[in-house]
Amino acid sequence: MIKIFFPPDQQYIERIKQNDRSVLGEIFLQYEKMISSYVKSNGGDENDAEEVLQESIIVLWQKVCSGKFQLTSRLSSFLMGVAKNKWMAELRQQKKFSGIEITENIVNQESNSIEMTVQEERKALIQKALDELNPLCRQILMLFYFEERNLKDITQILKFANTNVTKSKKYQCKKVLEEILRKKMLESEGRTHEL
Amino acid sequence: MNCKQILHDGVHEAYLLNQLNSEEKEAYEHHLKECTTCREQLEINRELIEGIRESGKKKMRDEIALQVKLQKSRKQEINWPIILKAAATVFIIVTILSALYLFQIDTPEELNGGIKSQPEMKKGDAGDQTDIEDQQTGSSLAGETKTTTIHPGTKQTSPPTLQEKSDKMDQSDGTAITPANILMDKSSEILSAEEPTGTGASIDAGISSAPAPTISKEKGMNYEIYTFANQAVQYFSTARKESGQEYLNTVRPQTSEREIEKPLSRKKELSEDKNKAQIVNEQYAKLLFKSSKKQIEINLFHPQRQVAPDSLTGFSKEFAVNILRRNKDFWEMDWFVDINMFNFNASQIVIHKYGDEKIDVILPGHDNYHIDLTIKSPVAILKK
Repeated sequence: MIKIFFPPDQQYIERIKQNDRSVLGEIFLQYEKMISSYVKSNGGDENDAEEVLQESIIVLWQKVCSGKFQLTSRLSSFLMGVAKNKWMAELRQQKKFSGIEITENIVNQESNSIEMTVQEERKALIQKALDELNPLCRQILMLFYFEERNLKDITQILKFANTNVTKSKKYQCKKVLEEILRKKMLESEGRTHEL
Repeated sequence: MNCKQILHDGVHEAYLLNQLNSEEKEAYEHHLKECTTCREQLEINRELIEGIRESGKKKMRDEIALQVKLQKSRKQEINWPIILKAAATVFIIVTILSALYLFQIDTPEELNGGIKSQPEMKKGDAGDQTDIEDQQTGSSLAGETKTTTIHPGTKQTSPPTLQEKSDKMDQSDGTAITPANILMDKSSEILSAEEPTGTGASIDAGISSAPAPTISKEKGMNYEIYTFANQAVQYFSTARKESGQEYLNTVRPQTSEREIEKPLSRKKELSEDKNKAQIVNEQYAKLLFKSSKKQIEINLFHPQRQVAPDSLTGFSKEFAVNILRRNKDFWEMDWFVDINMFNFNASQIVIHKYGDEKIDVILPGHDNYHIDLTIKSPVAILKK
């Protein structure tokens, strides 16, 4: 039988639920032109379109995994809606930093930028801590916190015996991550004091 | 709510993940106002979860990019030539069908059926008019036999039957009319009958008795070309229904020009080339070939014995021959031909190819033979 290259929307949703990652590429390729033409006609370029579509797919993935998504319209409509919001938010952000308003609120901007730097440093530390975590723990935490899957789903995906095992593993992994992060923070503070 | 309970129950996390009910939420927020430790703990949890989410996003972006790459490479792997081949097959079938329709060539089945279904057929003495006696209809109120006489120029309101076609043709040359004659006359370009068409009985017998009669070489070939078209349509339509994916996944021989041009007579080189010259089914004779513009020369040798083509003396009455077509840098299967040969002692078959619909087979220097040509799709081979 000739392969169906563009399966119906419901099939995509089912595949996301089953953690079939190949669907990511398929969705991207299917809606690439649609999102690209919208972004390009609204002052963006190819890279912006790619980024917006990626963000939209991530939103879709998270919503489906967390059980918050119900297919009431076509998938293309949903993705288009998300992409529009994302691109509008991006445009607003770009306007905000266009240079006109900066001169007026220069003091506030400075304090904000310090806070942002601290936040960025923290994020970088968490990223490093996550990288040091063993792959299984990282996957558990990703599935639970990022994809917002429930313990039952995680148990099925990772083939654990039951949800209690998953729950305790998740707890342990989070503790390990906290410990790594605490050490990293101490190291970082020590370096700052040395300087 | 106290700090110990909050830590034990993972309330910070539940709050951040929006999993608390309104009462729990209220109680927790009330506690937060008074407890600095819990506020700090909440912040750590928030940062941690945000960090994980941020990292997850990055990883998923990378994954999307990777999957897109994979999908694109998979798309490139889709065998367009095979898809084009399938499209060409459909095109050929449509062409054949439309050609048959245009020339109004009835299939042998129809002809045979027509002969059987005709209750009676009377020939006129001078051939100017034909009386056709219909069978008594069920509405025989008067109990009479209805007889219709068709004269030249009589307008027919009902669709013309085989007999009526015969009548019309009969008017022109005055020869005796049979369905076989109709076929022979109408498809004179395709059928070049050597035998006189005067007596319908002899031709009737020729068509209805055997699908591939033993007749002279030229006529035999023409007849085969005629049946070929019908059989091709049948085979392709059934094979396509049955096969699906298998059809598309058919092994395509890929032989370079250099390999093809190797001499075949030497035993050593034959064994070396054994796996290079490919055919879909190992059960059939392997083949090596040379190709020019219109002529494909096929040399057969036995796959198990690995003998030179010269020593081929009727090892099998059935041969499967792939006719391959050059398509840029590889050989593409064009047609698959089953050849049943009797008294076969030739090592070489030359197939002259005039297009996709016509194949003429000649066994040079061997007049005493019977060739039954059937065209099969590659799927049919795989299933054998």
